[in-house]
This record gives sequence, structure tokens and C-alpha cells, in this order.
Amino acid sequence: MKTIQNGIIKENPVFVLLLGLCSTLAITTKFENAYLMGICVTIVLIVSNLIVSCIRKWIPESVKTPVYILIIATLVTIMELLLHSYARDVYQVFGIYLPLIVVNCIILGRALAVASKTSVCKSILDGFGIGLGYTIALMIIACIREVLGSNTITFMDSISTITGYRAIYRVFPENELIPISFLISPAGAFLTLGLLMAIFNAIRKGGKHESH
Amino acid sequence: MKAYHSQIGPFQRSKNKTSSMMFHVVLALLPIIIFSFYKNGIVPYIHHNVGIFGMFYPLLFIAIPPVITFTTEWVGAYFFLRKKSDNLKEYMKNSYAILPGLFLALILPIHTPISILILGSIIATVIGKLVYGGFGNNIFNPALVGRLFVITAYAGVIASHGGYLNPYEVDTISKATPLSNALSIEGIGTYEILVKPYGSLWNFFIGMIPGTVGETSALLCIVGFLYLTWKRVIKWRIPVFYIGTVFFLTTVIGLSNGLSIWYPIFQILSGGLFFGAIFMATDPVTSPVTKNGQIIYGTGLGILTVIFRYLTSYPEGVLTSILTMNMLVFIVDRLGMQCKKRENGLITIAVILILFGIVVYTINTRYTNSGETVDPNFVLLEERQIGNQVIYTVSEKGNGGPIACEVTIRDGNIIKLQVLEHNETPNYYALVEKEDYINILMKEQKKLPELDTVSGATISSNALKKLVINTLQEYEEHYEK
Repeated sequence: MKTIQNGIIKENPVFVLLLGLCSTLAITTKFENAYLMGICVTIVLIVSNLIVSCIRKWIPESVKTPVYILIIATLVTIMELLLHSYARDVYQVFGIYLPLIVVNCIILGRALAVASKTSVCKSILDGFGIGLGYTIALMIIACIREVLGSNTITFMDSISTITGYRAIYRVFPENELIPISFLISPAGAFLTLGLLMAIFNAIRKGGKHESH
Repeated sequence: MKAYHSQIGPFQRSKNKTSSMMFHVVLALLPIIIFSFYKNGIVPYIHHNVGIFGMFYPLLFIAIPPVITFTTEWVGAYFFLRKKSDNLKEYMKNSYAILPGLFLALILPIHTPISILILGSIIATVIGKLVYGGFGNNIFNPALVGRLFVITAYAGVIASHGGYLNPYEVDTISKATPLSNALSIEGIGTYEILVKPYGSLWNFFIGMIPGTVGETSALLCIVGFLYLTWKRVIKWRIPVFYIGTVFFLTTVIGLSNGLSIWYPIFQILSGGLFFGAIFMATDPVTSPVTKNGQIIYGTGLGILTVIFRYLTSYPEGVLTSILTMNMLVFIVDRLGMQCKKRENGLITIAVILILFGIVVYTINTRYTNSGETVDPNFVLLEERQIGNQVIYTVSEKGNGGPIACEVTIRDGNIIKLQVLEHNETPNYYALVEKEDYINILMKEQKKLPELDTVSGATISSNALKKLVINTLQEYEEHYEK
């Protein structure tokens, strides 16, 4: 439990560790993309942590990184092929950012920092916690960006072929302030991320002060 | 024996306190505000039925943002910066809290809706100032941050409310602002196209041209500049070198394109250059402190402004160049310190001159070639001939990607123009549709080069215009022999 909490708050990959920002900024234009990406990364993260942790004693120090990358790349390729055949729309939405999970620093970072040093069970928990933290962060960013930037919130659109129905809602009535299409642009992504990071860290530190 | 107390300096204090500096700036802005009231309030009231409310609207417009920025700053200082009540009073007294709002109102179009104005003021204070830790720590000019936000986020909304032209100008002037007009034409332009629609250069000088609320009058900006320089509030080198650089570069560009001295004067008098150079670029927090640094800063601003005006698809260059140079203030200051050494100074001057050369060369090659070579963004997708009709499927690069159209031509005349596919921002494209620009293009197809673009959707409408021009050219080459 503590490991999971650690992944969400103390070592939140997006707001605290600042890892894997490329996909974070690029795909958070829709709420749906955010949680799908979060799920993909979480799965890859858990499995890679599991494998790395299992074989950690046989890998020599000098070839550590290439071996881990190879493992992650294999997993991501499996993921890509699975999505391609079973969820075509999701595959198309992610485009280049799906193969780019390979170089997502969170996964390699956790493999090097945690999975190569700790037991299998703890590594899996860590992967789950970090993945959850990543997903939550993405969902918050995407929620703000989509609601303010295009005045909609998309729960199911490209996965509607699997689930069977679409769920896209308008949020605010017609007005001149919203949508702020600027927030959908990359600059808007940086702005949202920066402000959220500030708020997150303020809350995190504020909590620490009270506990003292 | 007499007891002596040791004291810590400073022992001499200048009368120029932060709060009195603010007073001087407001005083220098006062004529501009009054002029703006005259231009946007009284003149439309006399010549165009806007009513009493319409007459006082500009004053209301200018009065709201300072109140908002002051409140935001007070709340922010209290909650985020955690100032205690004594500190808070002192802080608010010295933090220029109303100035960003005042500037913001003066550099926005008169038709900005009040709700956007309020949001812009809040953004200016929060993003431009408070997140950096309050007054004195901000690296960007808060008012410009606010304006950048408003313009990037709401350009379409503002344009659909009426854009830059006040009610009187809508009747008398059919064109958009001078610089977006200059951007929409092919090549570098002539006196008839650039200046004639707005009267004469005298109008540019006193400020009776379309533009934002308070930036148009160069005369009053110069008055403010002289006053502020006399009171030693602003650094005179920055505006002088800024405007000087723009003047010099545009003179060279104008001369090499066969335009006489009116051209650089037109360039420095339009686009709010005087207002930006005198009031925005000299912001004490976000500009260099060394003398040489100020010279380099001003020159850099000038070069950037010219680059932005000629080589990008956005008419406004002052805002972006000031924000860009704001980032470099630290480096510029260090450079300024090192320039005290003779050889370093000479190297800097040489680098600046080389930059001048590169900028002028690039702009000239681009503008002289534009008439002769084929537009690289124009793509001919398909060509069919049915009887005496030729149907072209063509595409041209718009704001959000290619715009594909089907153009049917008979005997050299376009009889049908249909947009097949586009990826423009919906807000902007709605403006194009609202003005029925496609029908205008077909109606005016004989005199396309002089045709106006849709203000607010300049890039989209310009792409459509280019598309039609290029298609007609293509037709002439193959069928009219």
C-alpha cells in the first residue's frame, strides 16, 4: 500500500519526477486518450518491472541498459500489435506515441532504479503505483485541457467499437470565453502542466509542514 | 563626550521612488488615454450613431483592467506570496499593480469583449507576475503576457465582434489594420496600396488609423517619451535604438525595392511600434540595466521586429519581439558589461552589422522572387476537361494544413468554386464563411491582387485567394493561346 501511495504522491512520475513528458504533453488533448495511454504504460511498466526483477541477478552490470531496453521494446511491440488487431481506432489515435513508449523514461527509470534492485513482488507493486500515478496525472491534465480547450469531455470515442457506445459530453453552454483553443496547442499543454505542478507541489509541501 | 552611532547606508536617497515612477508613467499615458477616448468614443459619437454609452465605452474599457489587475495582485500577494499586512501595504504601493492592466487595455482591440478583457487581466497578473514571485521577479512583461494570451486564445472571437476597427472606421476605411493589409498583398507594396486607404502619413503620425485602443498615436507616444526621459523614469536608449534599427533596416529594404523615404516612415509608424518601444520595452523589471546592454537590447528588438513582420505570417512584430528579448535580458546585460572592453565592443558591432546584412538579404530575396517563381504551397491535384469547361482540383496551404478546392473555369472565368476539404480553425473559418468570401472571390476574380482578406482570418482567406490566383495562372498558361 505504501509503495502504491509513493508512486501516486511522493514520486508522481509527471508532477514530481518529470519523466515521460513527451507523451504527456502530446496526447492529453482528450480525456479518453489520457486514460488509454495511462493503461498502456501501466501494463508495460508492470510487466517490464516483473521481468527485470526476475532476471536481475543474471544481468551483468555493464549490459544492463541495453537488455532492459530490449525487454521494454519487446513488450511495447507486443502491445502495439495487440492494439493494432483488436482496437484499431485506439492504435490510430496514438500513432507515433505508442511505439515511443519504448523510450518513455519512466519505464526504463523504474527498471534501473527499482526493479533491478528489489524483489519481484515489490517491483510489481511499484510498477502499479507509478503507472497509477502517471494515469491520474494524465487524466487531470487531459480533463482540464479538454474541458476548457474544446468544451467537451470524451469518455469513450475511439474505443466505442469495443464497448459499444460513445460518450462525449458538452460541458458549458455556449459562451465567448470557452473553448480556449489555445489550451489544445502544445504551449497550452506546457502552461497547464506547469500550473498543475505548482499546485501539486504546494499541496504536497503544505501537507508536510502540517505533519511536523 | 559625544556618543557616535554607526549607521548603515544608503545616506542619500533619490526622489525617484518606485511609487512616484508609477505616477509619472500614468501621467505620460494620460494624453494617450484622452486621445483614445477622442478617437474611439467622441468621433464615432459624432459621425456614427453609437449613443452615449458607446461614447464612454473606451474609457470604461481602459478603466476595468487596472482594477482587475490590482485586485488580483492584492489577493495573490496575500494568499500565494503570504505577505503580512504591513508588508502587503508596502508591496502593493511599490508593485505597479495597476500598470499591466492599463497597458493591456491600451494594446487590445476595442472590440475585445469585456469578459475576455477581465480574463486577460487576471492571466497577465497571475501568469505574468505572481507565478514568478511577484513584482521584481517576473522575466516577461505582464501586460504583453496578457495580450499574447488574449490574441492567441481569442483572436477569432475578437474578430467576430468587430476586430480592430472602431465603429467610425468601419464606415470610412474598408481595410484592416495597416500591417495586416501590408501582409495580405503580394510583394512589398506601393504608396497607393499601403498608405492611401488610411489618408496620408500625417494620419499615421497623429494616430487616426485603425489599431488597438491606445497604440496608434506616435505623436503622443513621443511626448510621453520626452516627459519620461526628462523625469529619468525610462531608459531612453532602448526606444531610440529600437525604432532606429527598424527605420534603418526598412530604409534599406525600401530602397532596394525602389521605394522612397515614405516606406520606412510607414513601417515605424504602424503596428504600435512607438507605443511598444517607449512603454513596453522599457519596463524597468524586464529590461537590461547596463548602458551597452540597453543598446544591444534595442537593436535586437529592431532586428526581431523586422524579421517577424516580413518573414512570418503574422502582421504584429512588436509584441513577440519584446517577449523574445525579455528572455535574453540576462545575457544581454552580461554582453553589455563585456562590451566595455574595446575589442569586445567592436566584435559586437560587427556581429550586429552582419545580422543586418543577413536580414536584409533574406527579406529581399524572398520578396523579389515571390512575383516570379511558382508558389511552393500550391498543388495541382487533378485537371479535367469537359467540353469547354476545365475542372481543377487544387490545394493551397492554409493555417491548419492544405485547403483543397474544386475550381471550374470556362473561357477564363471561374464559374464554380467549391471547397472540398480544409483543416482550418473552426472559429476563423466561420468568419470566412460569414463574409461569403468564396462568392466575393468569384465576383472579383479580375482584380484579385488588390482584394482584401477577411480581417481576423487573414491566413485562411489569403490561402483561398492565392489558390484562385494560382489556378487562374495555371489556366492561362495552358488554355489561353
